[in-house]
Amino acid sequence: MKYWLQYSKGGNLRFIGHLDMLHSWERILRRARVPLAFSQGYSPHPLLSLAAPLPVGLISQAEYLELVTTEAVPNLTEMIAVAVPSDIRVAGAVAVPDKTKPLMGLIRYADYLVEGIAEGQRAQLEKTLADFLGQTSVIRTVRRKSGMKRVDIRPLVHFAHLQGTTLRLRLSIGSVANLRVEDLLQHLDLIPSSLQIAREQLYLDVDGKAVTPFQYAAATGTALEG
Amino acid sequence: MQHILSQVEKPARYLGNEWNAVRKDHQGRITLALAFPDVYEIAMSHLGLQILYHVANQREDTVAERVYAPWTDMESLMRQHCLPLFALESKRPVREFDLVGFTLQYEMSYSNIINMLDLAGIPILARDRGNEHPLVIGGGPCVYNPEPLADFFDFFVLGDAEEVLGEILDAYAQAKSAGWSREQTLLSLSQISGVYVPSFYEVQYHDDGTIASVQPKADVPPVVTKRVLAELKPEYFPSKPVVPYLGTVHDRLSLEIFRGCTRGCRFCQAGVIYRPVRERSREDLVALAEAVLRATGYNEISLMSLSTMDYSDLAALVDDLLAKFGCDHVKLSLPSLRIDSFSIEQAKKVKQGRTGNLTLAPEAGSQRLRDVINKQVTEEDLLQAVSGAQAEGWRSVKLYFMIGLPTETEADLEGIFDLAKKAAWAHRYVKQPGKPMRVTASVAAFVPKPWTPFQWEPQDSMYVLEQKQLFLRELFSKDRRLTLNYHGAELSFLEAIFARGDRRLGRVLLEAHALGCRFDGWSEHFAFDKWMQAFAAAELDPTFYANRRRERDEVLPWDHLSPGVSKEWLWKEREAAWQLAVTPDCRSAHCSVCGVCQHLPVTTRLAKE
Repeated sequence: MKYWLQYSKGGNLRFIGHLDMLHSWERILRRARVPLAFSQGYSPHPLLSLAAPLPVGLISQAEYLELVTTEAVPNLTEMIAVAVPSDIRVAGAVAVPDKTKPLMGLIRYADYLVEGIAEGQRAQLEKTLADFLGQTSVIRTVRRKSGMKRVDIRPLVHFAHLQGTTLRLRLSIGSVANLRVEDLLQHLDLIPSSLQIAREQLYLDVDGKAVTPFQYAAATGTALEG
Repeated sequence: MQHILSQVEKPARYLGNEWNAVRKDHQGRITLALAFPDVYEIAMSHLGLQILYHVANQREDTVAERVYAPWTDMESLMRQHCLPLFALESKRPVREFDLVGFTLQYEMSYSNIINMLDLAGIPILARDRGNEHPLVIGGGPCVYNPEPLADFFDFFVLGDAEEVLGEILDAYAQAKSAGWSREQTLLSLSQISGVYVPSFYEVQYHDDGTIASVQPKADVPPVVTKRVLAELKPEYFPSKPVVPYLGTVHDRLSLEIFRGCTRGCRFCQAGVIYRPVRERSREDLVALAEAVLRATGYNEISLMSLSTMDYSDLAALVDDLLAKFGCDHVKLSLPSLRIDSFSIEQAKKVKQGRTGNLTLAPEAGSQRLRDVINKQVTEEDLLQAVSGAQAEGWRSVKLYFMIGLPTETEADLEGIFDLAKKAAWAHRYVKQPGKPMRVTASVAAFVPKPWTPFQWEPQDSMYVLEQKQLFLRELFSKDRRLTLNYHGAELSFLEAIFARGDRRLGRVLLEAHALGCRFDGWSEHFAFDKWMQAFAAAELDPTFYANRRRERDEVLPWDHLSPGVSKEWLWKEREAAWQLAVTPDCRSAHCSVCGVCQHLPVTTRLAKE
């Protein structure tokens, strides 16, 4: 059975990187005695993946773990609750058809909430932001695995609202187009390490519309569980 | 703190929020900081401190927390922000704890201990500490000669700590409630068997620099003998060890299957100080493994001991563990293999998929030298084992050797190359078809250690060691299938100095600390020049400690301490070495009267007779 699990990651777990987090999930699920399914082959590994890497230093309200079990686990969230550290809260789980494509490949957008912008920076930021949003193309050099690369980041920003000292963003994320929130903040002359950044939600794209993984699962006819 | 953490390379080292980390209110409790003088990934791989964390936290009246050496990036930020060394769980400054216990695993971590005391704001010298400061305690293998650290520690604890820790905490609780002075408290602690308070002993020197005498200055025992557990009870084993988020060196369940080793290799200190062999029962081990797997979610069990293949019921234990946990995809790993076909058979049972490296330790290149060191392994054993491994699909083997062993000649060095070459072609020696193996010979420089039959021997000079390395390099360059690894002789030289050093070396450690020495076990931080500068400043000759032969009747800096094994037995073993006489393992042959079972209330304890 394939499940998508939604959870929040807070507190000091913000300092735990993506791979360490994935590794921790295996341990959590083992402690919870969830019957994990394993890959075939020479060195079997549990069929687990995280929907989108969360940069170190960020907290998140909506992370998604995809897992495959050898049998149906109707009380999955209850089982896991006793084995997770207090900085993780499991919001729910949904069973999806086995043939559903990996969630990792389906995610297209992410919402971020950026807090802690200094009062004195507000006016300047408002101007920089308006200027940025007013353009149709903004080329910026960003770091990629393969090295530095010039990317048009404007189409990757779907909205950016400044309200008081809080900035709300929706950015492209995933395998098709990706903009790191830190890159955008730097472009806006902000220092990411001085801000509190939370990821609020992840979305798939259905006919040009952003839908959450759980909405997608419900729409494709799978019953919600847990 | 958050701001500092976001600037360091690996913040997870300093969070203290791991699964199974123990958080207790400090109010009204004895506070114990368990310190490991190296970085998180190394410290968290150490079973000993997890045992003490477990034993201390089992007590209602005690809270034990962890503290490790901050990496250099963190240290700079801490110093910049005047943030003192803190314990991971509560983030409380270490200097506010009642007790700070360091584990002494390795001589080259001594500079980190001093740096940690400095970062904590605890006076570095024990004599400068007052009632408001913690008592600084040392334990672990290096306490069998802790003299270079004597000035920095309030007391040391010799031997298995599981039981004596409770006695120390009881005595401390009494001293605390009675409001005793530091001196009174230490005097009371010194009456506990296994506790050594160095400030109560006075060392006198001869003009030639050797020791004239070590005398008690107070009412303390003239010789402090180690504590030893007659039985490794399961309740002392950490059933809920702290699970790191960060990948550590040993990121798995470490299951200690026995303590002690009586094979009697004459260079090996662990083979003396942890005597005798005490095995856990197979039933206890399976039950412990199950409990720890459930409490941690680990996917691998490593069977830990000084020589895992020697566990008396190993084949059945491996079968039991595989049967019970194999279907949950829990791997089993055997960290050390003996050179025989039995070991290969066990390794084959636990191997999954592609075979990794096979590691074997013949230690010396010739039968003569193996007899000198009492390593009871023949060339035939090695070739049988390697060819057996080859038949099971292994393609590479790593062989551990030492150079600079007592009585070594050029023929012994050539023997290393010959043995490596023969191992590569092992299948031919057993007349089997096959392809040659890749062989890596890893060659360490011999470091004479206290409490071994070679404790009187000089270490080869750095020049001689380097010549020997060059000689081997020349030989190994002739065969592309063979790889040779060795480390710089400088580190081995310093290890030899501190392993058999005396109290005067405390001056060197202070100088080295002032020069910025730390993380000496890390090649990127090791600064040999600074150490030599420190020796010059302290006006001490390093070769006096590393390269000098001791006389039989010389007072050694550690003579007033005892692991139970007698000095006479060590000398007898030394004599036997020169006569190429082999001393068999007392588990399978007669007792050689090393002294442990004669002096201490303990005897060899096997799972299966």
